[in-house]
Amino acid sequence: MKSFPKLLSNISFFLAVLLLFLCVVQDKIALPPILQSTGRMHPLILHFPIVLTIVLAGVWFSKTIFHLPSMDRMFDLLFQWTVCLGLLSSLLGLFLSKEGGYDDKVLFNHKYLTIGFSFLLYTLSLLYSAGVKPGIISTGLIACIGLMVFGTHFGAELTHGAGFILKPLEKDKADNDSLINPSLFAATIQPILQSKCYSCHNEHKLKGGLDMTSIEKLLKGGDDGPIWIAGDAEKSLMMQNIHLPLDDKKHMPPNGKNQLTADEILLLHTWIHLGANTDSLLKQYPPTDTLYKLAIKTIQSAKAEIKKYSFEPANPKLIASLNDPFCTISPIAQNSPALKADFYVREKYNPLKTQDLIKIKDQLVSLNMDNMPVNDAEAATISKFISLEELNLNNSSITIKGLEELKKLQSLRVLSLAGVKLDTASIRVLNDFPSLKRVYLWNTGIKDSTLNQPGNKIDFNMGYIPDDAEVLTLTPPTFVNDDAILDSTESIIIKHQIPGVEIRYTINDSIPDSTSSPLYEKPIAVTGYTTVKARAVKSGWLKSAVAEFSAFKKGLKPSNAWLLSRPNPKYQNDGYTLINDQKGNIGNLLEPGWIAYRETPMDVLFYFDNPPTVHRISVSYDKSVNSYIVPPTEAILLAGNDSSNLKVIKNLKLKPLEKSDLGKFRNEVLDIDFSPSVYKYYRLKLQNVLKLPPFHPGKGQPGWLFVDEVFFY
Amino acid sequence: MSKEFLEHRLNITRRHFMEKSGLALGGLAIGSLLTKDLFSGNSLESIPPVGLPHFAPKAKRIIYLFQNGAPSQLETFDYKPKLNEMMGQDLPASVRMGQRLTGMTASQEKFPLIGSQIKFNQYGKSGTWISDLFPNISKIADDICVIKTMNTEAINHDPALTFIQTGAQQGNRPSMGSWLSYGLGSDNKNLPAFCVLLSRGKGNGQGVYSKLWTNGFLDSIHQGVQFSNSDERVLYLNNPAGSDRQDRRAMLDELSQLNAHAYDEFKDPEIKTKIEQYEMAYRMQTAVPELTDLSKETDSTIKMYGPECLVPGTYAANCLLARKLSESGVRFVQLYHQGWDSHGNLVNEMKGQARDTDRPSAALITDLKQRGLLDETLVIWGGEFGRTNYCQGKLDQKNYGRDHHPKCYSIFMAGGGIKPGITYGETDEFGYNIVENPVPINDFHATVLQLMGLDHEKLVYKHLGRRYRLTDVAGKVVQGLLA
Repeated sequence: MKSFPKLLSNISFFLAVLLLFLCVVQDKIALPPILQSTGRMHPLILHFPIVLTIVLAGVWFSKTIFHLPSMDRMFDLLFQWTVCLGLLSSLLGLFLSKEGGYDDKVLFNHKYLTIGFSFLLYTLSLLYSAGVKPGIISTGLIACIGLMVFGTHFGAELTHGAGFILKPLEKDKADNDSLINPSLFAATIQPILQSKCYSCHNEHKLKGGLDMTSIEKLLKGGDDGPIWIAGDAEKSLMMQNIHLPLDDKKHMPPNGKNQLTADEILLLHTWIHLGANTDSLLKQYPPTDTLYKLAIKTIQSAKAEIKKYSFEPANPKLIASLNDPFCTISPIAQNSPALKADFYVREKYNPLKTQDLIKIKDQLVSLNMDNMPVNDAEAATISKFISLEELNLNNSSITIKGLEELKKLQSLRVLSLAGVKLDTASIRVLNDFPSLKRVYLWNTGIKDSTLNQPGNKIDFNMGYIPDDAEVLTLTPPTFVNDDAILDSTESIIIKHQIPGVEIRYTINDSIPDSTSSPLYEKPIAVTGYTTVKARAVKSGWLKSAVAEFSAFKKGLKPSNAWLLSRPNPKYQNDGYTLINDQKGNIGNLLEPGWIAYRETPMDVLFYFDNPPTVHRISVSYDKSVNSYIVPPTEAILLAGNDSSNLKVIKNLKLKPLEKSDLGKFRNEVLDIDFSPSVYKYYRLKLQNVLKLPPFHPGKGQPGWLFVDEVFFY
Repeated sequence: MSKEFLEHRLNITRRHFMEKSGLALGGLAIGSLLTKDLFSGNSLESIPPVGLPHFAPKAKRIIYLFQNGAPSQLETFDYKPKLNEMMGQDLPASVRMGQRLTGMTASQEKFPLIGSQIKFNQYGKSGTWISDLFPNISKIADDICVIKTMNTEAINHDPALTFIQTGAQQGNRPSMGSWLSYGLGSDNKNLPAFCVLLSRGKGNGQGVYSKLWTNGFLDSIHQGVQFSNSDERVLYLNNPAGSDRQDRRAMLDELSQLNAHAYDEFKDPEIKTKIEQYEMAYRMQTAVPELTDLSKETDSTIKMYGPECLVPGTYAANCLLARKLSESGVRFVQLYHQGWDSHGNLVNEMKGQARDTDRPSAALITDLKQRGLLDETLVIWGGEFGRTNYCQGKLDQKNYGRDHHPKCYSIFMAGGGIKPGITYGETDEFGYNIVENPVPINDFHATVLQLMGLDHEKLVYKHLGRRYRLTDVAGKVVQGLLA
């Protein structure tokens, strides 16, 4: 281990001699490729001596000032390392500089300042071992650090470009005139070269001898001559290199660097193809020109990428104080000074709020007042929001007078006016807006289809225009009633959502006709079981399908009911189900309101505490023939005041099932009418089908009887 | 117990400590090399979202027209004449490449190819192929971007739905709308940031369930709010009979005081959420009637969406309401239309489903456009996976069906920074595998977040010791879709 410092000092000696030798003969030798590769290690190695030198000085001064002899050995070793790495770094740098492509003057400064540093440090280490006064070492170290700082500064300039550190602090000092009225070259080609090429082809780092930072130098080209031939993109060196495969050594930009986009390549290609003009101003090109279109596209996409605003951000506290539930103000994105404001809930709109926004007029770029009752007075306020780019005034109350005010908005690009009452005169005003690009005019009353001419600076969007030839079918009307059982104050209410629709209806089971059937004007009163069929009609539309609704009039409610026969266990309810006439269960047999018989006929006893006059009993049952659910065959009604002594007051033989009933699926009602009478007890027997007829799939089997409700009138 | 603790501590010697910390330091060092931001002091959970986009967004809001049950790409946007040529022939094994099948067709002996029985045409300047099922969407071909190469990992409805909605197949993760609500907050403080509207067609349906619009581990304020299909679209919003707005205000004031007490005691963030939700519901009492009032819609609007748009519960009505919600600043409106699961009787079922959705979907895009809102609203139309190029069951040209197919399917998007008038990606001539530009679900999510101004790698939530994203550990933005 003891020989290690010795080894280091020997290596240092060797490196110092080699470096000195190469410094002298550097112009006369060529480097073998292996050394070229080692030379490229320079940017890595150089950081060691920089750090070590600083540490070295630190250790030295703390050692001498605080008299810490314990640090001696550490200092010795550190010194050897620093010297060795310093020399090595210089040597590698020398190799790298042979590759060329750097600014001569900066390179000269860097090279000799840092080589000077290495030698000074080496000399110092020799002096230190010789045991000179500490003062000499101190002075020497300070000098070394000085040389190092300046030398490496030039080195950094070679890699990162001049003024790298201070660049973010510099304000844009670009020429105003060329900003407002740039040449196509300056507006589009130069920014591409700047972002994708400058880093290797600049005044300090001349890869391939090429500097692309100014027009003159671009035209001069690099080591291989001019990089483009105006008018012949295919033969232009730059385009050829760009089109090489990515892994090709000559592909530009080199693999691993930020690549050109397809649009950028197309623009460069077209520009060279059309003569590589560097002077023509952007505005001199006609808008239909291919190159112009490409250029505009690039500018817009670049703008979208990095939209910078020149104004200062607003005070966050101010923004917070302006926010309320009906007006939301926020930056358009994190770290952006630009603000957007959105108004919500028309009922809560407050014009004073719009006044308040004056406080952020510099930052407000987007204002959404969709559906707010904004009028011309507020348009005058809005016209003071100088940074506004997008404005939504859909369904507001502004007029052409308001538009005249808004014309003052210099940056306004998009204006939405859908649903605002305007006329063709407004178009003239809109055309005077300085930066307006797009206007939405749907449902404004302006119906001029000639507005959008090619070359127009404003794109007028007129929106959907209905095709009169296209006729649509109306939706059926809907029935408002929730319940199928209506009490004496209720009627059947029909509605249709489309304004101006006529509803034609029938209550006699016939299909409503669009002209001759009664027109629905007021709710339909029901006297008993009623089925309403209705359809909607409107000119310009096809008539709707038929909608159907059945309702019962609410009956007299018996005090109790008893089942005298046993219903099928699957649908086993009690008598209360039959008289619980709060709710009709029409349609859904799975609802618990149904009671069903198959093995036995239905037999129910009803009882009234205070017997009313009754003239009719209606039974609501289901008829789903294919599901074996069929009407009863016979109804027997008994009545009396003594439950053990009732007499038959009605015996009805009902129509047997017919073949045409197959496939029927509906609710039906059996009305049993008799002369008005007052009884305490009524006993109703309904006979289910005992044997289904031969035409039915279940012939010979008993049919189901499904009963929903029994009504007393 | 304390004795054991003491003993345990005594067992840790200095040597032991040095040994362990050496390993630990090594681990940290490797960790820092692998994850570049590990020690940057900017650990992701230390920057909760501030409710603002990371960068200037292209889209401010999303309307997702989810076609639940998976519409067949082969009858809608992915035109494959080869399948008509090879009608009835068996799907070559070289195309299927052992792709797993669902239990519904896995036992089939033959996989007879079947071409679309619905004709295709090219539309617009872009020449987008669209089938005759969509006469109205065809008219806006230049406004939409068809993606033919969506692909998913799941093969059955539930995991596939859960995957495309939440970024994971297993469930319990926040839905897309919840992530956006979490990342961007609500613009309109009077409405929820994430609203859900349901409808169903007559085709074979698959369920939709509230786990699809869950907030997962995020605060419950980010949960999707399901609207009712009755005339009263937000249930229980009206004051009960006999109580007026002042009563409601007084009640809420008392209640929020009580809740504030509870919060002071327990510091449960859900209590804060609850207070906010009550307040929002109070403001919704003003905002919602304005929103659901359709009486001001013009005749031409009604015609554009179709007459059904005024019948609550229909897809058309939901599209119209979606426009109104979006217009009112709702960040994410999610529609589901059920009935696209055409395992059989495909042509008839799809015709019915298309009748429900074609006109309203096209109308929604046109309507947003004519109001100047399409530029800032992203509209997405699509399902959870595609359908097989072979027939399920016996081959029958009139009455065929298609099984689930995860390897490619078509959706379309419009507005909000999407490149209009293009067809992205290409499938092979069998419509089975992707040839070019696949868009996996994670990439789709990354792209959607990108359009909304969010970096999908930065929208992160730490839960149970692990960081979660909508794209989880995958996803890259599909540059080719961006305008």
